Amino acid sequence: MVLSNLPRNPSRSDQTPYHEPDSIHLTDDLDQTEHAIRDIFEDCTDVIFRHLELEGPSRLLFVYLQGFTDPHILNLDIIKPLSERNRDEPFTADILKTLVSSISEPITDINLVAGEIACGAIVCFSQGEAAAYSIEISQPPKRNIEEPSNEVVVRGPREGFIEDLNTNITMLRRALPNPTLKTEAFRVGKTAKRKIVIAYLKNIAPVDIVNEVRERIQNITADQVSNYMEEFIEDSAFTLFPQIQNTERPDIVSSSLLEGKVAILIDGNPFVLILPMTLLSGLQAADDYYERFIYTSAIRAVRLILFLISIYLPSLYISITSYHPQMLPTNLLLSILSAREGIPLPVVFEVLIMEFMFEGLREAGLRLPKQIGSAVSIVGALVIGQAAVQAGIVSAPMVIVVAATGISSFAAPRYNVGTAARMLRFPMLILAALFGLFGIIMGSILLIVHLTNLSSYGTPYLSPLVDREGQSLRDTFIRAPRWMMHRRPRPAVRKSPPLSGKSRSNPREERNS
Amino acid sequence: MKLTRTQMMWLVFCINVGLPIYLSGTMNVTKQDAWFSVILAGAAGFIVLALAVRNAKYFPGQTFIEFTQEVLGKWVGRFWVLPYLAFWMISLGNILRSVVDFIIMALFKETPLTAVVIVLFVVVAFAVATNGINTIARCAELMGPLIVLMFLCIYILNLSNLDFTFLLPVAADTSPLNMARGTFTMMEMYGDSYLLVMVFGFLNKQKGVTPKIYVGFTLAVGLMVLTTTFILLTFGPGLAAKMQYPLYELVRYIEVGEFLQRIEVVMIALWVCSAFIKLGFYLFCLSYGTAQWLGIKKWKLLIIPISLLAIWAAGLTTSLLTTRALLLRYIDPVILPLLYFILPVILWIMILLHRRKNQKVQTGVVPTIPKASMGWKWSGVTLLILMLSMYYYMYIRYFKV
Repeated sequence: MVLSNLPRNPSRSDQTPYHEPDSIHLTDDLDQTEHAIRDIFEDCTDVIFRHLELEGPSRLLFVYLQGFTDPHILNLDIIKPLSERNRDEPFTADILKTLVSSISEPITDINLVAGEIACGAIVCFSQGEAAAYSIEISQPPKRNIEEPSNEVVVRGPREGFIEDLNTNITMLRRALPNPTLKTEAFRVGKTAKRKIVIAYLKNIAPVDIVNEVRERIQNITADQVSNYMEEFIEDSAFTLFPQIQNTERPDIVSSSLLEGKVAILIDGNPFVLILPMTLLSGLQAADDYYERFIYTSAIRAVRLILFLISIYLPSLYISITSYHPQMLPTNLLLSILSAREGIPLPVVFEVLIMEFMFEGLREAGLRLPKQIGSAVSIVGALVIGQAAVQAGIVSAPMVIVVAATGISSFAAPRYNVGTAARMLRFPMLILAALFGLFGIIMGSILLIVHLTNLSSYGTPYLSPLVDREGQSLRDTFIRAPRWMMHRRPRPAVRKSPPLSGKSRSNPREERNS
Repeated sequence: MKLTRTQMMWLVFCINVGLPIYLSGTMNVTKQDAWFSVILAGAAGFIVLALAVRNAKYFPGQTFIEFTQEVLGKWVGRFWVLPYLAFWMISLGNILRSVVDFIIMALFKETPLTAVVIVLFVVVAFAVATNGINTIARCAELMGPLIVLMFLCIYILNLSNLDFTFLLPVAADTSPLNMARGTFTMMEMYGDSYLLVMVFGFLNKQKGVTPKIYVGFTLAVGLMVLTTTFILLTFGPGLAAKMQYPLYELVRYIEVGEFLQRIEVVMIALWVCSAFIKLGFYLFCLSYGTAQWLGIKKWKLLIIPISLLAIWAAGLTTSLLTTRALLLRYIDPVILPLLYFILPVILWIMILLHRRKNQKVQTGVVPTIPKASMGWKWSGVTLLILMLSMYYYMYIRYFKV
């Protein structure tokens, strides 16, 4: 794998250039410093300036944002011990360090200080010192840990990531208690400097992938980042298929890390990005690993068939009814023909109209408040379904086809893989309308060619089906029992230690991952 | 561009499986013993494959065009590959035409041939242009197992239609001469294996690749033998010999209960996929080889002119049956053995000599060749000359109609 051959994402800037202010050094005069900070935070009502007069010459100033810091914690943990300490010794930074652990090295640049304040830290200035210390005891408001609504499992852990980065890291640590779990922090974004963390297992994740992730993250020049930073760091933009997986579940992240993948946690976002992604991992759900393996293998087959149906069913219907009717059994052909009798539109337009209406219903249903959501489904089912068939505008088999396709497209466990299938059926429709079955075959070949050429951070998108040298197929279309999966899949396959000791004789030794 | 060994295996499988369309010629001659002539043709193809491996394996990272120049010298080497490139061009046109003939037979009624040819070849050219042999090999890796699966399904679903008396009497009605004639008509489709000399150099690791290649080839031939047998057992030799696409008819014949019928759709899809791999492989070898031959660095520039040539050649061959007749009379008996057997053997000997010379230059010691091995070599050459003279005698005596 040569990562340097990957198409590098050029830095895409979406805003007018943002000029970093020149660096200005702090002075040792506290009043002057306060004045400068007040200048920067002019018109910011939520910035608190708190003075603390100590005995002797020491004078301290704490600056912080209102909502981020609990004043009681500040009082109890810092201010009270400071005022009660032995009066004789002068104030130094070491005293602060004994009080709170999360204190930074001295900062001398006033803009950096302002940045720390804006990020929610408490910044402490002292009279006679041309440096400031930032203390991170902020506790911004956050919601409770809940079960993620997009990825529900029948059996398995029910916790999901939340918006708070520290909580997320803690959850990940708990799912993967190992010192080799590394979490590197970055601040990304030109205007909104958001904290993001990349997590990986040191001896398992390939070094070149981790380096590539670091490099691509540092090249991001967006004004702010969020879950959509995926677009800045993925390999190819002009494809329907997501090349970076996202999930809200700590167990999925931890098992992905054990496969040698890299996770990106973004502050303020419950979705964790996992890369590299493969198409098959997009068709696997967390449930697969908690249920019995035979059932899981069967369900995977169902899922794959539904995925194919969501791409192909409408186009197959078009091509067979209008190009190759001889391919249908006579009875089926007769019933389709009798249902289509009197329908004014050609099949292609019928499909296009119905697909369009289906997408419309889906989109409208997504945005509607829950209270009137049922109205849409009633209108959709009655008006579009029944009334259109009764009025003789659309044939009944067509409604079946479109409904089956629609349901299938939501069977993909990852929503964005399902969207790829939903989009793909439109080119297939057009090809089928132009060339019949031959068009569908040509479209499929083009699709396969596209998929074989896609890759995500050096891992082929169809891995382990292509380039499968030395890779096991035990977790692809079927899921083998866990004690039979000895080898790690790509990308870790190259140089990591084996997944678990060969414990086929004693399945209970299998480690929980 | 790098190929893995598994990809090589499936590539060999996909270009050789060819979903038999040439069977009727064989069945006309050998009747119920056609399966045996398929085995013989497979054995002949195996020799071609082994020669290709022998020729190419000493030159990792080099294609046919490059290593012939290294072994034979610049100008002889250039001249050496010229007939190959020309013949591959003709073959590409032929394969394209036969694929399109099948597609039109199975899927279209009045669509002009040119439209289908162009659409098909645009897809092939696009695939080759994206990532060259890598794309083709990955597609082969993906589709190969599906093709095997499809064959297994055909066999299993067809079990109820078999009548074993169709195979009898075994080897009683077929003279050795007829067997040989039946075999020759099949051999042409296994000659493609020699194109491997163009891509062998792309392998990332050579160790252990040869068994895999042979496994891929044996799998393809084995499926072909089984298919021939099943066709014979289902239709009988008389009916099968009259069919243009016996495998297609076999699949159409499958009917399990009332519900599982018309599964030929799947077969057509996979057939076109395997044809796509074969066409892509040829197109890659031709454009890459021609580019190297002409000394052009950007080989992808040659895809368009070669595609146009192929489309033109496909239109030139008037119809499958006439082309087949021409092939049988001129190309199969003369050009195929020359290009895929005699010249490769000579090249192999030259390569061995070249390596000996190189070793001498490098180490200063003339490597001693065991006497037994020299004996083998000479007896091999004698056997070769004997076989060839017998072959040409038979060709002149019996095949020239």
